[in-house]
Amino acid sequence: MLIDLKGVAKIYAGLVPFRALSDVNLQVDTGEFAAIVGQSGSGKSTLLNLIGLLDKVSEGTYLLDGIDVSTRSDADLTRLRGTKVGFVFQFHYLLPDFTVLENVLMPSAVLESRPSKQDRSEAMRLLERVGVAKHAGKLANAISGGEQQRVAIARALARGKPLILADEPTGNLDTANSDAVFKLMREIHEEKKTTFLIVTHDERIAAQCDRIVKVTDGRIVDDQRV
Amino acid sequence: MLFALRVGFRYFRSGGSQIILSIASVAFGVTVYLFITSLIFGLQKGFIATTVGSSSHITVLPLENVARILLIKGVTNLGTSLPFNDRELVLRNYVSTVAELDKIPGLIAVSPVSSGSGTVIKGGQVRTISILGIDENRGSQIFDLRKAMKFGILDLGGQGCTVGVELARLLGLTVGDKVRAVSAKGVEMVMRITGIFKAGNINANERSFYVSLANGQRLNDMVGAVSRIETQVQDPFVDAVIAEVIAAKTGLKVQTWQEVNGDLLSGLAAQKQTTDIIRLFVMILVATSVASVLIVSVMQRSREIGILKSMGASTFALQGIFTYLGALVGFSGALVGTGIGGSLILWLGDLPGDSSIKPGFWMPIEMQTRFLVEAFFVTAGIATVAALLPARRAALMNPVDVIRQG
Repeated sequence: MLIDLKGVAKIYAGLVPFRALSDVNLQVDTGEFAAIVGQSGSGKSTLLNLIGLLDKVSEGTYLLDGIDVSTRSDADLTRLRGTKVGFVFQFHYLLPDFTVLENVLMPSAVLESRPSKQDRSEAMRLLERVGVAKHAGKLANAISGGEQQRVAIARALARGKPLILADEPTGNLDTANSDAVFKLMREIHEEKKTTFLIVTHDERIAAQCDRIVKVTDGRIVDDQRV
Repeated sequence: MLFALRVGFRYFRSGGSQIILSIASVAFGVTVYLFITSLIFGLQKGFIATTVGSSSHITVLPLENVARILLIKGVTNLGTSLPFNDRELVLRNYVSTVAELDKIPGLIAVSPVSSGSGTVIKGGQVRTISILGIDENRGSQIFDLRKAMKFGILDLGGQGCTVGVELARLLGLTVGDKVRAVSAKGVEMVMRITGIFKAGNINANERSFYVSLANGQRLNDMVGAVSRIETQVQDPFVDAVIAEVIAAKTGLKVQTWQEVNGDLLSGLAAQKQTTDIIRLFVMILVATSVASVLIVSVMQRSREIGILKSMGASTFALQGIFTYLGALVGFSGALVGTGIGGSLILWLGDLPGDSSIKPGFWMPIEMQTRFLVEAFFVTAGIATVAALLPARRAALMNPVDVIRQG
């Protein structure tokens, strides 16, 4: 099992503490292609941040790939994040001062300072796979929005991370690009058996996933396998 | 840290006008730093050269007599004894002392002097003088009499003597005139004026009466002895160390020019403090400039910082990126500043030294290589340190906050 959340809660401190998630129990196996759906403010992005180790659980336990990350230090979580989790956001967040290839190599650079030849070959393969290899030498802000999101997917896949978390990955794209990006994620999942967790409120996208987890008011209220 | 350096360098390269302006600001700071340091150095050097350049830096004097304490049985303390000088204090064995001093490294001039007061008589006029017996060559190394000559030459041989322009004016003396010198010891000699000099000090121009060392000893009634030995050192500010060496080697009393010129030193110290305060303000300007540019840069790049964190970039690495960025701005600005500032100061220093040739343009500015090195590293260092705070701010950003709201 890749993700195992048991009785997880997330409480934000403040004058009036805010409970964003309560009693969340979620198990995701390796190779699943699942959607997390819910209205704005339901807690789905908070759940994604906890799963992606960007935030810490307040209550309960979380095992990622068998490792209990509930009590790990920030430095440990940062290290694990770098090796286990790739992110795709609504906005691509590519580094505009770097080329397309350098952006895909960035996860390797973060972890190893100097990407190896193997890292470069893999990055080029990923760019070819997402269809933007011809732009490898261009600056990231010199290509179209759809292409940028494809580069962001390639970057998330770099270094063979087992888990890709996508937060509204098509929310910023027109329908054609949106369909193309989703299709790409689906194909990569089929090829590599990478686990995808996609947060979306686009029912059309959710309907194409293998599993739909519905979050309402910080609780999982429905969990269906299609 | 290679990752942080590479990203920091890329941010630096693509920073555009923001980075250029901050480099210009640091360069301006370095130029001001260099200018003020070189100007004050030049001013102080000129001031010291004028004030103590023509006088002794370290003077070797005879030891003062100390009253002997009569030991009385059963009484151990009879109170503090006072020095008593019933005879004039002189250096009797001065030839060997001069030979000893000649061997001490750092001393550039050693001149025995026989001095005493007296009067000079010309016709019906009498003037009080200070009779100074010197060795022509050694004495000129302390106060360059040859260079100071306005009329005649420096020739103290035989009955030759040289006087200041003011004394010559008061007594109506010209080169070749004969005068009668009478010392306070009652010794009288007829001397011939061979030269008339002009010193920077009016007192010297009115009172100094230079004769040969032998004639000085004769007039001052100290044959075979001198009153003091005057010396000069390469750098007047490091003479304390040499003074200790001289005292240890000769066993005589040693007096430095700083001990004699306490007020002058206070003035120089105040000037140095003012310079330090100006330099501090310049450094604050540099630090503020770099920090403000980096704070803006961190804010502009908050989403990028968030995404780097999501990729596993550590707090240390993120802090490194912006610290390197600050260091690159600092070192570039320091390089440009030392280039421009150094050239400007060299140009100003090359202007003619006589203010009558270029009125209003000349300034006593003098640059040293160490000023360039100091300005470069101090400014670059300050810029790097100033980058730490914004860099820390970037490193501590919450990726969730900046990605969703950034």
